[in-house]
Parts: sequence; C-alpha cells; structure tokens
Amino acid sequence: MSVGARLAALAAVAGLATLPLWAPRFLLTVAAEVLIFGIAATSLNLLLGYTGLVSMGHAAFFAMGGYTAGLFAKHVTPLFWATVPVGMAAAAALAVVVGAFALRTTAVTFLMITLAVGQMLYALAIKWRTVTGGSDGLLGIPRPTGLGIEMDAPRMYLVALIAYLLVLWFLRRLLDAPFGRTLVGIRENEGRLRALGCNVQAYKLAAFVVAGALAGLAGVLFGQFNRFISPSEIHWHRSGQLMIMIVIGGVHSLIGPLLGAFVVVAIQDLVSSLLTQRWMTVMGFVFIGFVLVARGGLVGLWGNAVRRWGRQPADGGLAPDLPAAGRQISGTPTSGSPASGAAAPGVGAPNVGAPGMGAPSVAAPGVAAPGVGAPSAGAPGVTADAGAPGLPVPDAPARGADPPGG
Amino acid sequence: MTGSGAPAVIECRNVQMRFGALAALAGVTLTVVEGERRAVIGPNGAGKTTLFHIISGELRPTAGTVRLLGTDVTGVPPHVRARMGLGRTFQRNNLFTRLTVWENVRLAVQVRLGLGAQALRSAEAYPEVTQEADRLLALVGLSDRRGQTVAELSYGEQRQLEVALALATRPRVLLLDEPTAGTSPAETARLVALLAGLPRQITLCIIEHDMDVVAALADNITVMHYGQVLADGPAAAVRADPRVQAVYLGTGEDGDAC
Repeated sequence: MSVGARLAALAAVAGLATLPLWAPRFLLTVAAEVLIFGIAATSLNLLLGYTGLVSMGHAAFFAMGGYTAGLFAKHVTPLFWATVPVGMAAAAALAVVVGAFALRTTAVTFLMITLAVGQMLYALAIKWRTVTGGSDGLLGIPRPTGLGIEMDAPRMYLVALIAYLLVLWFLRRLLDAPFGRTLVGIRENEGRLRALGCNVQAYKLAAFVVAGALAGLAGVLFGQFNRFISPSEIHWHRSGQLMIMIVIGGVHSLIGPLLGAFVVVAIQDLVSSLLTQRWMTVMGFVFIGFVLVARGGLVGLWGNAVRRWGRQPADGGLAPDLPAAGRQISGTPTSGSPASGAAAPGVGAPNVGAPGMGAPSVAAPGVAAPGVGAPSAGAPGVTADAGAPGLPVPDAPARGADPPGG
Repeated sequence: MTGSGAPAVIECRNVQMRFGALAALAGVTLTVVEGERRAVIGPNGAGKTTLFHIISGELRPTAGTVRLLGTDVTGVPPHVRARMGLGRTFQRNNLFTRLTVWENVRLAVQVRLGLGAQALRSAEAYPEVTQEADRLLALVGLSDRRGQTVAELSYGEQRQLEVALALATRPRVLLLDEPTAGTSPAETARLVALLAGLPRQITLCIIEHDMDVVAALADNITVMHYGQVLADGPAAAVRADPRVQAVYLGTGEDGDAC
C-alpha cells in the first residue's frame, strides 16, 4: 500500500478514535452499534463475498455469542476477558454443528437450511423461558468489567472500534494468506479445486466457524453494551439485514459491510424518527436501488467515481481481480470483462485505494445523514488497506489514491 | 493390452453408469498400466467422458469397481484421488474464470503443496509456489498472459491453462479430456509436443477426436461405442479392426452387432 493510502488509513482511524472527543453522546451509542453490526456483517461477508456461501442464518451465531456471554456475565462473571472467549467459543461450536450438516448442501438448499436452523433457534430462545427470558429477552446483562475503566458510551464505542479494527486486520491477514486464496478458489470454482486435490468441505467448514466466531464476538459486545438481548436478534430479519448491509456496502470488499451497516443503522434511526414505522419501506427501496444500479455497493460506486474523475487509469492491463461484485447473491456467473455494466467492473482493489472523506456523500446521496457522516467519513480510508479482496492488484490503484490522500 | 510387467494404474472392472433409463456405460473393463499413453476414442455419446468422471471420482458408478494405483477407490471422493496422484483436465474449460492466469496456477500449486490451511503469512511469501507457477506457465506458453483473467484468454489458451493446472498437481496419472478441442493448429502442435515430452513415469490417458494427435501420442487405443469397449489394444491393431472402421466410417449396423 502506498504512502498516501497508509496516511489516509491512519487519518481515518485517528478520526474514528477521536470521535468521543467531539461527538454527542447519543451519536457514540449509534456509532458503537454501527461498528458492532459492522463486525457481524463483515464476518458474514467472509462467507458471502469470499467463499461464495450464502448463509441466511448468520444472526444465529451473533445471538449465540450474545446470549451465552450474557448468561455467563449474569451467572458467573461479567469479566470482559471471560465473556468474549466464552461467547465466541459458543458461537464457533454452534457453527461446527450447523456447518457439519448444512455444508453438505449447496446453493439454495444451503440457504434454506441455514435459514431453518436460525428460525429453530429463534423458537428455542422464545420457548426456553427459564434460561433465555423468552420473548422478553435476556434482561439485566451486566456491563463488561476487567478493562480497568467504567464502561460508559465513549468507552464502549472505543472498545467496539478496537474490536472492529482487530477483526479487519485479522481477516485481511487471513484473506491474503493461502487460506483466503483457497476460499476465493472455492467461490470461483469449487469443483475444479476439488479435482486439484483440495478438501473443499474442510475449508468451507473452517470459514463457517471463523465467521460464526466473529459474529459471536459482535453478539457479545451487543449484549453486554445494551445490557439486553432478545430473540429478535436471532430472527431471519436480522440475518437478512446483515446481508443487506453487505450488498449496500459492497460484496468482495472488507470495508464494505461497515459502510453498509452505517447506512442501514442511519436509515433506521433517521427514518424511524421522522416517518415512524416506514423505515423498512425506505430500506427496501434503497436496497433495490443498489441491486439494480450499484452491484458493487458503496465501495464499487466510489471506485467508479474515482475512475470517472480520471485519477486513475481504467483497469487496463491490470486484472481487476474480482470484477463485478454482488453477483454472488444471484449466483449467475458473468464474464469479468469490463463491459459488464457500469457499476460492475473492478469492485476489487482498484476502487478502494482511495481515502475516505466524502465517500458516503458521493455514494449515497440523501442517506449519509447530516452530522452522522463523521463515523463513516473516516472509515473508507481504512479501505485503502483493507478493502482489497483476495488477490493481488498491486501498486497502480494505490498510486491512484495518492493525490486525494496527500 | 500391453503384456509388459508394468503395474496397472487404472483398473476399471465392469463399470456401469445409468442415468435413469439411459445406460451411459454398460459394463466397461479397462486397464491402463504405468507409463502407458492410452487414447480413448469413439463417437460422441460413447461414454468416454462419463468414464473419466468415474475414474476421477466426479461420478460414482452404479456398478463395478475402479482401482487407482492398486487401491480400490470406487467410493473415494475426487480430492483424495487427486492427492493420490490423479490429475485431469476437463472437456469444457473448467477454470477459475474471474481470477488471473497467474492466480489459477498458484492455486493449483498451493493445493499440491498443502499450503491451503496457512492463514498467517501472505500467499505471496511462498517462493516455492511462485517458482513452480512460473515454471508451469512457461511450460504451456502462457507466461506473458499471467496478468489476464481467464475470461480474457482465447479458448485455446484456456485449454493450455487447463493442462497447466493438471500438471501443477504433479500427477502420476493424467486424464486429458479432449485437450486440443478448439485449439488452433499452432496451439495443438505445441500441446502435443508438451504432452509427448512428459516423462514416462506419468501415465497418460487421453480422450481425443483428432486422429493426428492420437497418432502422435498414443501407444494403445481404446475404442468406445454405446457405453462399451469396442476394441482395445495397440494403435495399429485397433486401427485395422474392421469393427472400428465400421463405427468410424459408418458402414452400417453390423459393427454394433459384434
């Protein structure tokens, strides 16, 4: 990554880290929620965007982490260093069990099975009142201790930020490593990978468990920060919402899901305060809009904008490593040629090199709420490093990012 | 059948494959010995590709057994057979279409080296993968296309990449399903030279319609027809077989009656 991109990433992180110094308190709570759902959506994107597994029950792992850690915090200890591993381990264990049989199927069947498992757990959480609190949810989860500080809104925000950055860093490493390449290979052509001697099932399960554990982490933070978790966190609506975050932010991009989480939470909070119950409708239209005209999500739009302004040559000889994003959902393979539509090409690295300020305003007019723009305004900068999916598209895009960065 | 003492690497015993009422393979028995260059020919629909799918584990036969390198692999999944030393190419290009040529080969090399589970070091940090991928691309003549995605390659170039991927697994047995279909004459010549130059430790089994390619590569020929082995043996003998000529020249139904 170029110096400019590094600086931009650094600036973005610094911007996010100093948010508590100037942002109003309620905003920090919202920002923490964005980060937490950002972690959950990012973990799902490991399956959806990188492995090609469309799981429709991801909220189950989120809630598994949240409930387990909540119960552990209530009945054993709220110690942060205990609840996090316990919650993650529970989510991972659930992922092992679910993955072991769900991954025997593919495509739509896999989607239906993960959906069914999620709904079964939803029913379980409602019926098993003595443990889960039933439809009232698990109340009175203690805030985390052991961090040496009282957990108020700014600090919870910072913990969520650190957790998000760690997840981002971890997944970046994972995807750059041979393991990540294998996952991308599975997404692209699992049959051929198998014919080459790869135990595809084992890798899918590994990805499923990693994604489950990370969703569990998000669930732990969610439960302990809100002091509450309810069955609605398991419902497939939540799983679908995570998927919407990914599509809006950008499949095949590491940073995309956080941007998507920001948009979804912003719409939810803004619209529901202005138009009461209509936020789902608005969300639906925004989602349809992205599916129709911006398959690459915000990250893809940003890349196109950068290209259109001529700051960077078109893909040219450099292979856009993962052209047309967003296709994973429909599953229709199209050629990677640059001709495949305005929004489609080059959603990969070339686009994301550019630093952040204004990405949301370019990408989502009317969505980037006034005053709420800050958390995400910094965020795309992180992309410079983190957004590049699986494969190498070395310097050119990063160089393209220099002028705005410096 | 070669009478030499070389060990059998592929042994199919009475292999049958039914798709509903259709018998794609109606009891095929076939032995390929180590180092052999075997061509499998026959009209379209004769069951050649089905046989390859069964040998590589893509399909499970409805009856019969398959032995690979002396081991019964009838119920063994494809990736295990691949790790035993079975490499293959596909009749229709079966590649990682949206990835670059370079990444395609690297993936294959990485799988063979068993590096897939490595999750910490960058994939670029494995010189053994890089060198091997370089070597293979040079071998099939795609070095200057490495940065292109597969979708940008010509069909013939994709066929060459197919072979590169199969060779990346360092197979002991290589199944090639119409490797020269759709390639230009120059590409065909290059591919034939490449295959002819492979060390004799690698056993080749090749489905091919181009008789010049068959003549250039094969010691022995298996002729399939309607899911059965019609003739099997040294190339010259098979060619002279009147039943084979009947099938290929279409002189009537008497060829089938045998």
